[in-house]
Amino acid sequence: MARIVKEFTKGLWEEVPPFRFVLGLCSVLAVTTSMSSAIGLGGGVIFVTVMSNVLISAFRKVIPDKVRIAVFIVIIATAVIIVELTMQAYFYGLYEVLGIWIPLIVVNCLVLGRAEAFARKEPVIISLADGLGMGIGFTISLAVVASIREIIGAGTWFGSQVMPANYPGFTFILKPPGAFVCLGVMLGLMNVISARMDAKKKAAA
Amino acid sequence: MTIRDIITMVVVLTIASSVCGGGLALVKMATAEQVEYQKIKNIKEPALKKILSGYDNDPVSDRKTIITGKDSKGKDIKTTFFYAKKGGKLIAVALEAYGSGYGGPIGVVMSIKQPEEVLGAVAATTNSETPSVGGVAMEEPGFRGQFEGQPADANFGLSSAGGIVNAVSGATMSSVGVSTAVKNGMEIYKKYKSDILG
Repeated sequence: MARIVKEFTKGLWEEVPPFRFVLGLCSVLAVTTSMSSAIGLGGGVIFVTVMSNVLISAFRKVIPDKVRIAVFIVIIATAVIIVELTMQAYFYGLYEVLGIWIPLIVVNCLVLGRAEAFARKEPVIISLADGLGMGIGFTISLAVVASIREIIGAGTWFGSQVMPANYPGFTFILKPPGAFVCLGVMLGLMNVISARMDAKKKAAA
Repeated sequence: MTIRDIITMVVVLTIASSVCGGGLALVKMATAEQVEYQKIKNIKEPALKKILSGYDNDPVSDRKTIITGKDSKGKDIKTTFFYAKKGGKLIAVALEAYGSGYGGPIGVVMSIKQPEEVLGAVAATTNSETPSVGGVAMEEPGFRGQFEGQPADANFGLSSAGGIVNAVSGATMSSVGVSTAVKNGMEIYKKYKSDILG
């Protein structure tokens, strides 16, 4: 049980994907212009990481090593298309906004990375916890970056005005270079906080 | 690598692909109807709102597709009809038809009032007219208003040729495109009336 909790929570801070591994950055930069698209893509990624981790872990003993990547990709692509069709059927507005970024979850290195580094060696329940944790960690990261960019860039959050009505907006942060700056600052902050925490732990020990 | 290994690889890959493919086919079938509804809702509804009024149902779900002829390659041409109802009573039928304008085909949605069978309103949808010339002309209320209340067998030609349509000056081609589309739409309606209303 403790193991499950550990594998789940590591995705939320210690190994939070975009910031610690710097994985899956393309989509982080692309969809974080607004909260709703960030949460939409995050939801899709959670489903895909969970489904691919569970399936790959369940069949880890029958998948021959030499063709494992091909099998992983087939499974991941299937999960992604399920997300795409569901989104098209029930969240059409979101589907239009996210566009190409949904099919591109297939090549998000986070998903294949978890399959290759974790799910193919670990039992199903633990892989499920890992997939869920990583997916949620990814979504939270998207949400944080998107909040900063949407609030500073457009003065809105989830589409509703949060800044004073005469806030002129700061378009730079909504453009790709602004995303890089935002991401860099986030990475720096996370490293500072981690370093502080480690120092405290050492001092206590 | 033994033959056995190779066969295992082939078998596993084949099974994985076919199971995934089959699963996706099921998901696709399960969502197909909803996806089509969403597409029409998001693409056609704004145009439908322009030409239909006073209804209390959802014309996007109250729709019917009928085969209305074949194109040059022998494929079926399908036309979708939208029904506007009030209190369960049919008040108008809407359809989209095409005519050729200056820059290419012009799509026009039109509503046909029921049971009077006269045109309600028309609005251009897809077109590649010059936005500042034909595009403006097609939106002009005076031009669009000419179609209102016309019966199905009106002569939708230009007034210079004895018809009822006054072309917008400077945008004759676009005007002709719109009126041809309306004429085509009315013809489809007359021809398939029993299917549409049945």
